[in-house]
Order: sequence, then C-alpha cells, then structure tokens
Amino acid sequence: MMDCRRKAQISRAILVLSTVVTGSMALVIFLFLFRFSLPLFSSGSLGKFLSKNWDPDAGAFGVYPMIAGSACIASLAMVLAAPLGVALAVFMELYAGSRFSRFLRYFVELMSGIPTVVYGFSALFILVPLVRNTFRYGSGFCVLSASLVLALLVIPTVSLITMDRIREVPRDFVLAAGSLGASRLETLLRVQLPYAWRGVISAVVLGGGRALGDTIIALMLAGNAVSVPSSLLDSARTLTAHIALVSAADYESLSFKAIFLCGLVLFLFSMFSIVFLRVVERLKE
Amino acid sequence: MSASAGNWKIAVENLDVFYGTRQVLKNVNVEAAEKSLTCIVGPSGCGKSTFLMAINRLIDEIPGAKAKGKIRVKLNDSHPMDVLKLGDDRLPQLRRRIGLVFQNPNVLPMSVFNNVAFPLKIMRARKKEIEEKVENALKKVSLWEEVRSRLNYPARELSGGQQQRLCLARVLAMGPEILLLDEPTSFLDERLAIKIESLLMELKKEITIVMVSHYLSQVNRLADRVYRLG
Repeated sequence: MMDCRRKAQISRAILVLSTVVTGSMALVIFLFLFRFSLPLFSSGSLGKFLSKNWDPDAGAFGVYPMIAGSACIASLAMVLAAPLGVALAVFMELYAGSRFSRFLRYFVELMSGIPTVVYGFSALFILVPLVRNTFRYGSGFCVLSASLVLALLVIPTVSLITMDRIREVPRDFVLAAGSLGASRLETLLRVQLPYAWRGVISAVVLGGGRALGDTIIALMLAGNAVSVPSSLLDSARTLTAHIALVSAADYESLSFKAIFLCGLVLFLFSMFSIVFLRVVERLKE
Repeated sequence: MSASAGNWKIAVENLDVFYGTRQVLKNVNVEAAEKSLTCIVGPSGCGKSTFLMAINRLIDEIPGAKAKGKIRVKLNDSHPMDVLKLGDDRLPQLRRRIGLVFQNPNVLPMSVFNNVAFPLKIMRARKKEIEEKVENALKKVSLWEEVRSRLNYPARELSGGQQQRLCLARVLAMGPEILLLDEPTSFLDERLAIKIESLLMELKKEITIVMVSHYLSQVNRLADRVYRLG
C-alpha cells in the first residue's frame, strides 16, 4: 500500500504535468503559427501581405482588408457592448431587486451559453432584412449587422464580469458610504465602480477578445467582401472568417502562409490583451 | 415605554431587529435627550452595533435584516418622525443628519482628504467650503497636524487610531444633529482617548450623542444616561 508521502508526490507530479501541458500549449501554438508564417518575414515579402489586395489567382495575398474588417467590426461591437454591459450590471445590482436580479442573471448566463451560430442564424432572418430595408443600401450583410450581433454576444461577458467585480467590493465600503449619506447610485459611482475599475476594464478587454475572435457571426453576417470598409453598411471580411473561407491544400503555397499570418495577428492581439490586463491589474490605486 | 413629553431627541419603542430568522434585539426601549450623551452598554454580541445601525436605518443595507417597532426622532426643522416608516428615498438625507461612526475604522478606498470630503461632495458643497470643513474636522479630532502633509495619501496607510479619528472627522464634517458612536476610542491610546472624550463633552453641548462603550470608567465620565442591552 502506498504511503501518504508517495501519494502526495504522484498528485504533485500530475498537477505539474497538467500545468506544463496547458501552459505550453499557448507557446506551441505561437511557435506553430510563427514557423509557418516565417517565410513571409524572411523573404522580405511581409509588406506585400499587409497590402490591400487579395487575389490568389493573380498572386496577391494582402490581408490588410481582413485586419481592417476585424478591427472595425470588433471595435463597433465593443463601443456598443461595453456601455450596455456595464449598464446592465449596474441595473442588476442596483435597481432590479434581488429576485428579478437573480432572474436576469440566469437569463444573461443563458445568453452567454447560446451557440454563436444560433445568434447568426436568427440575425440572418431578422436583422439582415431589417438593416437592408431600413437603410435601403446594400444587402444588409455588413459591418453594422455583424457588430450588432457581436455586441449582443459580448454583453453577457461584460455584464457578468462587471457585476462580479462590483459585488467583490468589500461590504464595509458600501456601509461606510451609506452611513455618510450616499445613495445607492452615489455609492456605486463614487465607491464601488472606482474600486472595481480594473475589473470593469478586464471585462471590456475580454469581451473585445471574444468579439475579435468570433468566427461564425462575422462569417454569416458581415458579407465577407475582401475590401476595407468605408461605411458601416459596407461588407467586410474578418481575419477569422478569412481563415475559414480560404481553402489551400498546398502547404507551401503563399495562400496557406497568408492564413497563418492571419492566425498570428489574432494570436498577437490576444497576447497583447492579456499583457494589457496584467498591467492594469498591477496599477496602483 | 412611550416617549415622554420631555426634551427627547430619539425615542426607541419596542424595537425588535431580526437577521433573517435570528432575533438580535428584542423589545428595546431607549430615550435619548437632546444635547446629551446616552451610553449603551452590554455584553459582546448583544446587538449594540445593530441598535445604532437601526437608528439611521443603515441596517437596511444588510441583506436579510429587518426592524420592527418605533424609532422616533426629532430633527431640527421637521416634526417628530418614525424613521422605520421613512421611504428609501429619504434615507441618504436622514443619514447625513444622524452620523454613525463604526467600531472598526472603515475608511473608504481613497485619500485622507477625500475620505473627509466624501459626504461634503455628495452634499454638493463648494470646493472652498469643503477644504475648510475638512481642515476643521481633522483639527477637532486632533488629526490635522499628523496628516496635513499626507492629505493625498491613501487613508488605509494611516494607523488604526488615525483611521478611527479620520472616521469621526468624516462624520463631524457633515455637521450631524445626532452622532452615533460605536466604541469611538477602542483603537486609541489613553492620551488620545482623553482628547476624544473631551471633544465629545464639547460636542454634546450642541448635538445629541448615543454611544456604545465597553469602558465603564468612560461611561461614568461621559454619560448622562446609560442603558444596558442584553
């Protein structure tokens, strides 16, 4: 029979192994993406890949329109989702009452669990015709449609994290502010949110990461035109949709390497988001 | 006991307080005369702090807490009112006039200056007025000289005794009519405790004070009336 010390050693080894495997996956993926897009860097043709022109038949592999498409769609989604998500968290915390707040939270949690394809599919039949008929411009498959649905997708992430951060503010602070004549709204605005601001920023950055990384909604609703959008009603293609759409069987082809470059750009964005979050969390009061 | 026709400022009648199903105060009757210092004594856990929080309805902020009975208060420009019947929208105003200092100094996560200025900013006081009141309040609690060069430092960097005096200053800056004090000298050394006691003796000439204290000698020195809970 194994003694306790032996069991503890085995448990520790399993935990260390799990940590190493999980932690190294991100590194492995980065190296993988870097390895396959390396020829673009070493051949000096990186500039060509960051150009506006994507036409594989003509040997043009510029992914700039996709970077711009991703940036536009994710930014607009976050401009909508960040204030709405924070406002929803404030409403649930302050005004909804405990029962309604619990019900709303369940509902928001449910929203965050719905597969994105369901959002996309619903928007295809409801939002896209609405945008088309309202603005009488284009097909309705555009930056606006994709951003609106992405915002809906991201709001639960922002509001749930924000609400949790607000609730983590020590009860003593809330009582102290209340005892000094602050209303619940004043307590929230002057004490709880300033105390929890790092958490709110984390929520927004994580939401932004989700908006940027989502594939299916952009694929279904943005129109997938390979051009830099000049208005919200223009079609656009995101990096994720581009990776899904481009079919390249030849590992040595430039199309294939360009896809890896798209993946690398997305990876770097995620990495910078995490670094940004860490910096924000370490900022002093 | 019903409130006598005399010079009462606070009259608590048949007060029961529950946290969920647990009753922490049962049939409490207390009367505090205007411009006097009333002491509440009793063993730990008998509900003294809860009693103070019931008077300015801060108890409403504690989930599951419920108070029954009557807490009648006479504020200067209004008729006597039962604070337990006040609507939620009137509570901030009530709490500005019935200041409460907690047993454990619970400074807000902001600078020394902003802690004292907090209630004044909420009351939309002007900048000059805020600066004057902050300085006066800190001087009253004998803290000004210790913190005047550190007004912009986080309040949590002060010592326990300094934080306790800061919390008292914060409430005094509001200019309350009634002051509820929960062990106001528990973190102070003897010298500072005596200073605060002197301040309370001065304050009770102007305002009504209800204080919880464990120190019998302090109660004997300060109290005009003593009630025992539990």
